[in-house]
Amino acid sequence: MEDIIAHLGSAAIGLISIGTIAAILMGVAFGIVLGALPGFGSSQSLALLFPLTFAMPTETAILFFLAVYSAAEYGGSIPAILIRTPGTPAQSVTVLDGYTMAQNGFPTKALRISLFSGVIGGFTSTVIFILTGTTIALVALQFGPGEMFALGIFGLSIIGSFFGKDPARGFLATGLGLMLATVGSSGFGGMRFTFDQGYLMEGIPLVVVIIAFLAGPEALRLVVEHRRTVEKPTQAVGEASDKEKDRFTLATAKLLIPTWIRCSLIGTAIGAIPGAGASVGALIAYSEERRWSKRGDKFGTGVEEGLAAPETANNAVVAGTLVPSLTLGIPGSGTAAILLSVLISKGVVPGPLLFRNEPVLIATIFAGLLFINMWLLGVGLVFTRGFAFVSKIPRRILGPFVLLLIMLGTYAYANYSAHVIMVLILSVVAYWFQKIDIPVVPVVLAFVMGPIIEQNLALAMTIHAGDFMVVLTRPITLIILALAILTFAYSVISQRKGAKRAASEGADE
Amino acid sequence: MLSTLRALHIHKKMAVIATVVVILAGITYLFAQTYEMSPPLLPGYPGDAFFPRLVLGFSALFGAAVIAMRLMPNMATQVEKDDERFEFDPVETALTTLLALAYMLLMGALGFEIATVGFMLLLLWPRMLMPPVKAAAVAAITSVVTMLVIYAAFVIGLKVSMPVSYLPAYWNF
Repeated sequence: MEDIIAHLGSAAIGLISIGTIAAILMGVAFGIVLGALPGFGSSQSLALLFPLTFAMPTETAILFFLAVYSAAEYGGSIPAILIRTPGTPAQSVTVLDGYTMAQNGFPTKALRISLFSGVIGGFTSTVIFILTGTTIALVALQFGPGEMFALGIFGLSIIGSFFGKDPARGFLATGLGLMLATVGSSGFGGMRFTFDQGYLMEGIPLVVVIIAFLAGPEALRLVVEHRRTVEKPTQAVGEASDKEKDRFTLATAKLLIPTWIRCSLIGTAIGAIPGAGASVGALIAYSEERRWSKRGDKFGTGVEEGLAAPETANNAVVAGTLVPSLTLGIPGSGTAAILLSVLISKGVVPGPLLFRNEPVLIATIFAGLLFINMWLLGVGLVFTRGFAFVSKIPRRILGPFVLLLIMLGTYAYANYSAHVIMVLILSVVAYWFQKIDIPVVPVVLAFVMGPIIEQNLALAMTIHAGDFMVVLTRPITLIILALAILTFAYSVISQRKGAKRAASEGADE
Repeated sequence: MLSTLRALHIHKKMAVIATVVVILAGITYLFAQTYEMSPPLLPGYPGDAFFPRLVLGFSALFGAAVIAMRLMPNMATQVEKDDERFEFDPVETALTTLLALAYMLLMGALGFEIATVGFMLLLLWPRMLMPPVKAAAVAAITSVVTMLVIYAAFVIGLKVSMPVSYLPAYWNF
């Protein structure tokens, strides 16, 4: 902890270099533009931009990614407010009060509330992350390989349980991700599932799995399903007639302080829960704010708190997601998996050891997150309206460009066309999986966690002379594994209850 | 016939079962492959096949659960409605994938410039909702501009080694 605090000053000074500022500005701009595109969430944006980090140093790459992530969560709000087109499902809640407020004659005020709420959510959750992250990592540092293996299993239990329509499909996808991770060298000298093919000797690269399962299906959906789609013309809300009232004032800020506090906490907590994400955060923040606000009955008519609540939570999720990802090595979402992948691709191993071995990097992430929110505020204040046009690009035209970018992005990784062919084949598989409701995010998450789990299991078994039962029955390991079983049981029970309720409601109708 | 293939309405339950059966067949094959992996050399290390077998067993268990949930009468209606269908366009999916594969395979022979312009032109042309000649012209201009932007970003900016044939003679740093 002291190490990280000692490095915070130098990390903050390091952020003022031209290269870092350029990477952050580029990340913020890319993030807002991609976030504003229809159907493009933060994970698709990050997957698409992953190849750009190959040439960047570790700190710059991670800051670039955090900038894209924060800005993409905000970017989707602009078309949601101005043209009633949410960039991602998380912004569907923003439409309720954001678009109504803009239609009522206050578009600038709505955009400013969205921007300030997002930045304050991002700031607050970063401070919470700084305070809690190090503590969690310190506890986890006491864990041996057996406990880390159990922690990985616990992570998988959450991933399998809460992604997709039912746990069976979620766990099947998790298993497929783990399977893909076993291809190539075992790390102990042997080769697995390579079938004497040279391109499989080094395993399936992370970049291939991330692009194929996160960006690939979206590219195919755009190209295949929107071949002849003609979007309905949407008219952006124009300038307000009464400009005096269409302003974000100190009084508005004072009114929103309680909302910002509540929803920052909600967003951070939801972000820290693997599998939840920005959509759940925004939805819970909105419904909680509706309960707490004195004007709860007016929500949906263009109320300030109704817009600020989901926007604050959306961006608070960003730092929240980093808590389990960086401290325990458990990526809770597709975006977190990509962030971890950037670290892994640079030779940095995520998990509690990261806090001990890489204090400079952790300090840079802490300071960088605060810095990124400042840049987001600056860019947002100047260019917000300009970004709205992006969401008007027809999806049938967008598709070919996304497909080309994912192919060339993969090629750029190692100048190897076999990787691109892998991406194409796996993208078709992922596209089909989405059609039949097999969730694809667990494939990526399990792929990232697979090697960490296997290495810890192999180490633990080597320490305990190959006795699997001794590894499984150590006290902390047992508690964590029990938690994993409880998570699984809870997900099965809640899925069955939900399905029965849906079936009985269907019968009543 | 082709228009029917362009909008297949597939029974979701059957599609899920068929997909999982294929996955289970793959798992069986891979499980057999684990017996050809190296035996453990390090004392205590369970061997290269240990973790893959755990993973394959885990996947097979949940694959079987997915199928069982669709075959058991009291569970089936809870996971999918009996008549639930989804639309799938195998023609466009196959054409797009083949075009993308051809682009990658031909890039070496034709060069990045011609391959990229050709790939984008073929994808953009049918998507331009305007008279064919005008659509071809707009698609061609867009494809050339895209190729130039990609060249500037990837080859010049990111120093990616693309199989470029012509542009370096005119535009290089």
